[in-house]
Amino acid sequence: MGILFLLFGILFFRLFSLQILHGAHYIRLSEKNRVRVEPVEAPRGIIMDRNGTVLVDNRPSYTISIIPHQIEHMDRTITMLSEIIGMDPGTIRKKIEAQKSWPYQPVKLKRDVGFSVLSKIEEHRYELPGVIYQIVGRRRYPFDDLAAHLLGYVGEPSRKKFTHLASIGYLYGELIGKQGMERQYEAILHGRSGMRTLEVNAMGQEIGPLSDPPEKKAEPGADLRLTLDLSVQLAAEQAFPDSMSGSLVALDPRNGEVLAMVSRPSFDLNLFGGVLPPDQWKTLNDDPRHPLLNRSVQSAYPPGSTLKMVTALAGLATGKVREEKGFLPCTGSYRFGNRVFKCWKEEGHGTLDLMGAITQSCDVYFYQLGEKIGLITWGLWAEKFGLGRRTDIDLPGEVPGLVPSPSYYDQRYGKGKWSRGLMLNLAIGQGEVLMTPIQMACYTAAFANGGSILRPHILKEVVEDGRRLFHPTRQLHQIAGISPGDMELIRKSLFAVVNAPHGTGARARVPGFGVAGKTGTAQNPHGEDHSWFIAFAPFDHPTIAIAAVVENAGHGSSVGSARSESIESAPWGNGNKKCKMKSAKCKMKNAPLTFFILHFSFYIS
Amino acid sequence: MPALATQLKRHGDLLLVLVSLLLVASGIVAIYSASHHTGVERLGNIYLKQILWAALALVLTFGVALMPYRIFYALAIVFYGGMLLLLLAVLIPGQNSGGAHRWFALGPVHFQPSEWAKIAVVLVLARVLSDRKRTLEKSRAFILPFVLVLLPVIFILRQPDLGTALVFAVILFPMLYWAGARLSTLFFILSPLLNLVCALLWILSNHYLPWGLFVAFLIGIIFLTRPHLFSIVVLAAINLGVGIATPFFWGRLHTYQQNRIVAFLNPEFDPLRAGYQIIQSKVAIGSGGLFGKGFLDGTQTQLAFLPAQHTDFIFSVIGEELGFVGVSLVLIAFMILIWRGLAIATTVKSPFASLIAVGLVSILAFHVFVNVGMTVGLMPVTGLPLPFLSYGGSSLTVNMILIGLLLNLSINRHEY
Repeated sequence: MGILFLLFGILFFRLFSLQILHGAHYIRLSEKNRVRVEPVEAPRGIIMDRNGTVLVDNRPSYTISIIPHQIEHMDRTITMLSEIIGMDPGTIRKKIEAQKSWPYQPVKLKRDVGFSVLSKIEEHRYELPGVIYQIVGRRRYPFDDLAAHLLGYVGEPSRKKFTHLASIGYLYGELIGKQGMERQYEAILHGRSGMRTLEVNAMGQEIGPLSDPPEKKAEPGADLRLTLDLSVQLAAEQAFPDSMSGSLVALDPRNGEVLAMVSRPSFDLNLFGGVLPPDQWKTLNDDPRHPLLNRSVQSAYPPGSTLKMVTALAGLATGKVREEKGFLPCTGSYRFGNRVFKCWKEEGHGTLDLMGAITQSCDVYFYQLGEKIGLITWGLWAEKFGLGRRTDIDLPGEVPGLVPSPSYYDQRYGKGKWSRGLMLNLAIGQGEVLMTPIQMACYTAAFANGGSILRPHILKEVVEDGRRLFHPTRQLHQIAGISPGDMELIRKSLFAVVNAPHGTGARARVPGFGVAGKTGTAQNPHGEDHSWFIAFAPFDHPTIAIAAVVENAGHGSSVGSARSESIESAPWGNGNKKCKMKSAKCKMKNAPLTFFILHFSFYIS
Repeated sequence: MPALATQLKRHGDLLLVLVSLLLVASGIVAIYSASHHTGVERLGNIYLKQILWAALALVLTFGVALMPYRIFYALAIVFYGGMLLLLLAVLIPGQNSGGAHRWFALGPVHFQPSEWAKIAVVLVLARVLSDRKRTLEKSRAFILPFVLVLLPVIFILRQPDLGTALVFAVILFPMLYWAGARLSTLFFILSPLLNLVCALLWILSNHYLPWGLFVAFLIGIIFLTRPHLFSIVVLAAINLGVGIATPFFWGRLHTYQQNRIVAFLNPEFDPLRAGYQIIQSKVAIGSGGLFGKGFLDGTQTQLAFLPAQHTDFIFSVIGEELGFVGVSLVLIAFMILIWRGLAIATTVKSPFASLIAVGLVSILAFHVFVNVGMTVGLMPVTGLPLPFLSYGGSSLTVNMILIGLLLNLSINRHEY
């Protein structure tokens, strides 16, 4: 009897201790059980072209997640799940392990599952407590690979990066912009995630919302309206087949708005809609043609003959052009010390003035002009046109290119160990000088607008709830030291390049649409030469300036300066006329410019 | 029928029936709460099933109460033999339940022989011990009762069902004591088992104090009672053997049994697995407070965080929804049953009847302590149901028959 009463006493005391003494503690624990704080993803802002056509938006996608603290039989759950979602059990375990410090937050296992997976999960709901699915936004690209490099893509942040992001309100598993506009304007597009509290049962099933604590609404990201013109971009995409490598940039020379930007080869943005599987990422990243590289801003090439206008303007400003009477006529080559510098035209151009030399792209004339100007003065003028300096376009990863200076050569070859003959090559745009396509477009725009260097930009405005929030400043500044007469001479020469009988760019001629331009061939010590073409139009009041480069387009001798200007036209030959996009979306809103680009590609072929 | 009524009124302990029916009723209410939510397992209207079982059990209760008292003595051995055969049979084909072979399926009804075997063992032990009452002074007299208990224990351990097997050990010792065995002798017999439990505590969680106390106690009792030298040597040898064999025995346990013991010793160790049930049960009971969250308003119960809430953890449902007041009433009801049972053991004339009463009370008390102890985290998860309250036909029927037997003894208390 005594023992029995003692045992009952123990039970009573234990119950008293649990329910009365520590009741508050257990009430807290039971609340923690049934309350799930769930992040509410903020819809990412959409991206439109200048006319409001949507280039990137969102679509719903289902993500399978697991809440570790609600799993009773971890092994069994993982085995079942791995079968249903087709994921290796080890990978599932690793993902759960990675988020060990947040056991009450869902661990995202597989994004964007199909409907069949979803219905299988629903079927086995009672055997899979703690397994839930969430609707999340995924990026959609109506034009597949259109402007892929410019728009960029989203992805999961690295573990290290997330530590930083978490401190500014990002939640685990949220995607961030990795490239292009998505990365540049991450802070604008992303918005701010909200929180809501739900009552859930032991299976992780939602019973309903709880009002305490109150729901924190998600703040959607703002939309971007770009300067890009869909019809121009489409024309540029068609003009530039994916089999080639290179880039094309089109600007409005009046304000620096980027109208089109193409980098080749490209990639399908829809691959990046959510999270790219590691093997596909590896394939893209290891591709020897580097499709992920945005050549428009991330690659620099020797500019070739397109750079001759820098030499020409420097010569005009310093009065050296006035000494052209004393220049030797072009006989196909020029002797400097004990070296012979060749002109691209073996039979020679004879005697030419500056305009003739630009029109026919005579190298011998410019060797002599460059020799007179000298490296330091020439370098000053190159920098006036923005060479060797980032344009500060709103894209990540821009490289500055290169304008070689005496100190650069000292460093490279040793002090005094380099010949002044290097200047002769620079004068025709060969050698160490390097330019990105975006720099080249700005350079072209300077001739179009009569001598102003501008800051190119892609963002036109930020739109939030229909209000314009942000309007980027248009920075233009006149290049000092160019007389209007000199500029006019250069512009006329560029018009002649396309429209005069002997012009090297005659194939870019568009009847009734005054095109001015310049061809260029960049010697490439690693392979076939690169081809450049720059142009602006219409001549009197230009509204477009373009720069295009095609890698390894040249053929024939890659030694010396023996080049064939006509080869430059070859790349544009097989214009991909087939419009991949739905014809309704191909609406030509900027007809003259589109016409120009298309003709540009056809005519020089 | 009038004869029945007068008989019951004059002689029977109707308080037993009344209190047990109250427990059954509160069990049905709790089962209703545990199964009414649309949550997880679709249990359906199992409370209706339980009401049907209760009705059947009540008929059996009075049936047993009104049987001629002599029949139990006469049939004890046959009943025991039959149960042994069924326990053996249940091992052979086997319906599966959590890796254990425990019952026969007879159509929709599950028949669990180990439940019935408890009563059979009480009856057979009562008969054997009342026959040989005076010979318990000799150690040879212990052999037969031990064998009688050991046989079903072995079969049930093969199922395997550690909890139920332990019930039989617990029946034996109070009955031996009641039959006249000395406490010190019982302690010596039990000492290897106590040794084992204390050694396990030491191995698994570094609590060496219980083992130290056990050794001190053992030496103290030996010193006080001064048994034969031979007995001392045997005792010492066995205890040393147990100490050495414990790690080996631990290795022989099933993984889920090991997990249960580890989880019991340290439930926070792995909250996602073995300790989950104990933690959720403690949270349910603890969050109930003084008056509970209200009927059908317990979040642990209604949102299915509480495991096995209609069977093993029915007590936690009451704890959460009706609070300290609710569970106290349940415990008081059990105390009344035990008190009335022991009262019958002391008032009946026949030693056979008295031993039966002690055995039955032991079964009841053990179930209550182990089950309630489990729900509040004082005992490991054994899977023993709470008598009268847990859902399940076999358990309910056998427990009501147990009440019927006690009632029978109280009606026939003057018979010898």
